[in-house]
Amino acid sequence: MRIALSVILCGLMVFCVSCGGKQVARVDANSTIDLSGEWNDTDSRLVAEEMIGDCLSRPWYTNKYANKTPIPTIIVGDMRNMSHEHINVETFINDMQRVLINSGKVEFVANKFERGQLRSEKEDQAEHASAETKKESDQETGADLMLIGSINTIADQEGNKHVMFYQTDLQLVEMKSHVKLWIGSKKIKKYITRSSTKL
Amino acid sequence: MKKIILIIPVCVFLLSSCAKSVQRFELLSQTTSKGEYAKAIADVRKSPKMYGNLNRFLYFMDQGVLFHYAAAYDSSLYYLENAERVLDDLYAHSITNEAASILTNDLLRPYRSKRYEEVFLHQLMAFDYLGKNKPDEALVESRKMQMIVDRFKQKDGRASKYEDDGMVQYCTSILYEEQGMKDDAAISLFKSVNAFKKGVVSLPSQVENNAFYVFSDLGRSDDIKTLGLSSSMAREKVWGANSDDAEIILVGYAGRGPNLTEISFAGTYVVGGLLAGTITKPDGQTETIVLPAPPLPEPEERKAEKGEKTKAGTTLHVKLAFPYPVEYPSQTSRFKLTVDNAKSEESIVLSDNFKLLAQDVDDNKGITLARTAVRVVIRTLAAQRAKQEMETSSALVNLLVNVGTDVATDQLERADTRLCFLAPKTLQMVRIAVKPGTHRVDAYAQTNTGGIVSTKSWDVVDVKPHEKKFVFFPSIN
Repeated sequence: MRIALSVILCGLMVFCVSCGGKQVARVDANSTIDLSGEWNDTDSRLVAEEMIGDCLSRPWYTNKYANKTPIPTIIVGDMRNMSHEHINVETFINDMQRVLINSGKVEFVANKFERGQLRSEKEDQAEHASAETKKESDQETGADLMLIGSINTIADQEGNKHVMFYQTDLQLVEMKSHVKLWIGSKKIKKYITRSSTKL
Repeated sequence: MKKIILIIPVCVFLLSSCAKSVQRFELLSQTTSKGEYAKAIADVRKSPKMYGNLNRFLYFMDQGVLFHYAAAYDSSLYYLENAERVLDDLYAHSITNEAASILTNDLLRPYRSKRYEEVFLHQLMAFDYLGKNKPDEALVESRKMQMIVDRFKQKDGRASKYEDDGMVQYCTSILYEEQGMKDDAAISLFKSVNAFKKGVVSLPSQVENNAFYVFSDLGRSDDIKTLGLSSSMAREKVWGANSDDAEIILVGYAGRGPNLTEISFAGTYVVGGLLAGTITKPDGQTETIVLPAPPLPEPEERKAEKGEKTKAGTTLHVKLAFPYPVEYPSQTSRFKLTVDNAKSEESIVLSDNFKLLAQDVDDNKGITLARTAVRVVIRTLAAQRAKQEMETSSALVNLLVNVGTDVATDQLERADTRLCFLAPKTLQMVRIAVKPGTHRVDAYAQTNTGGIVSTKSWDVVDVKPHEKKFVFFPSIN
């Protein structure tokens, strides 16, 4: 009996030790994995793709810019996080820029932080680069349109149940006239439950 | 029966892995009081075993608080986010931990923070983001705090008095003001006044007057009536009365935070010997009362004469231990803020951690008492069964075996005295309206008689239009 008990205990210990290690599995970057229920890479990608797809299919583009040469230039303005979570807005902006540029219908100019770096580099080039390769100032392209927006949330909770409603709002504004050409919004609702006990 | 006897040494072993809160207090309290935050952080990092796996929240929280005091906001955020994650992981109560704590003491449960500590964690994160000039992210923390206090309000069966926090709501209203979200700012201000009125910290006159003027400007006369507000100060003297103003806001952390100590009662009845009772007071002093016990009944004496097993020398031991809040004297009583050597204001108290701790102990008194009673009954029954199994005819041997068992069970009874004592005694604030531009800022931590404890200066503070620029000053002595 004692021997049997010892064997079982040893077996359990080995099992516990083998369970404790870290395991890594590579997954498709486009796969959907929800762990915490918070805003994640899938939300960022899907919202960007759907909203920009909607934006480019609307009349403002066909009526005003479809036959225009050169193609319209967009700058990304403030994308405000007004949610209950710390959302990396940069990845969302990058997702939007990727979809817009890949559509071939618009192009982007650097934002104000990137412009600062570029101007500093040009100043450096003016002093140190050869005359044939240095880039002149005052050659920047002014944006035709500005994309601004925000991510908002409405939270509701009761006990261990929790609903988070995300609404992403985007506006495309013409720089020259301040006319709003397009307003889009994408909503996501997540229902999260969690157990209040565990072994 | 052997199983029951085995429980005691196993529990003693488990107890040895519990956090040594006294050791932690001795290690960190002095260095933090002296403002040696880097040394305190190094001490924490050198001693992860002092915390153990059950106190991961405190391990991260302590470092988060210390890095915040040291103005290392990125590092502070890293540790506070980890503390937040620990609390999230602990949402589900472990059945095995709960069962173990019923047999031994509450120190075998993972530390889940007190309600006000959970709120303070997010408030510190908001301050960290403000220190990094990220007001949007600070507002995210404010919204999270709102969800937490909403959760407190929803909890049924735990009629806690701490359901909202006046300081948190007041800070949130300032952040909304800065964003130009005047209605949201007014709603937070309403919640702030309400929380102060229901809570343990008195409603500061500045907050009451601020609410009065903001509600008047927005036509919220019903709110003024509901809260029973009146103005006792001229508008130009009220902070934030003109919400469009740019401001420099000092957040001051004043004095040593409170701690928890243990009070206990232990009673031993030695059959045929004596009755002894020991009371351990909050200051650690003990008082013992010893009385002679009634003599052995005749049948027991006859058994002893025949050399049979007897009750003589056996004991019945009971110990109950409870947490008790302790306040420490602090030099720093208030702060004074001076901008450009011209404008000057004194601080108001927005939060008092001793009062919040005392309230928390009071709120949880019923639960603590019930858990302690169940634990003591189970353990005493187990100990008595164990003693019965080991009874002999010799009163002396009985006494030695019983006292040994009593000492073991006595050591198991411990009050849960864990908390984040690095939080300051009070959290204070000063606001001064300024014109956009650069300013010199001087802050003074003062005693209650106006003597200067310490000073801190910022040579260049750049303030943009409508900006609420936060600066932080810990004076934990």
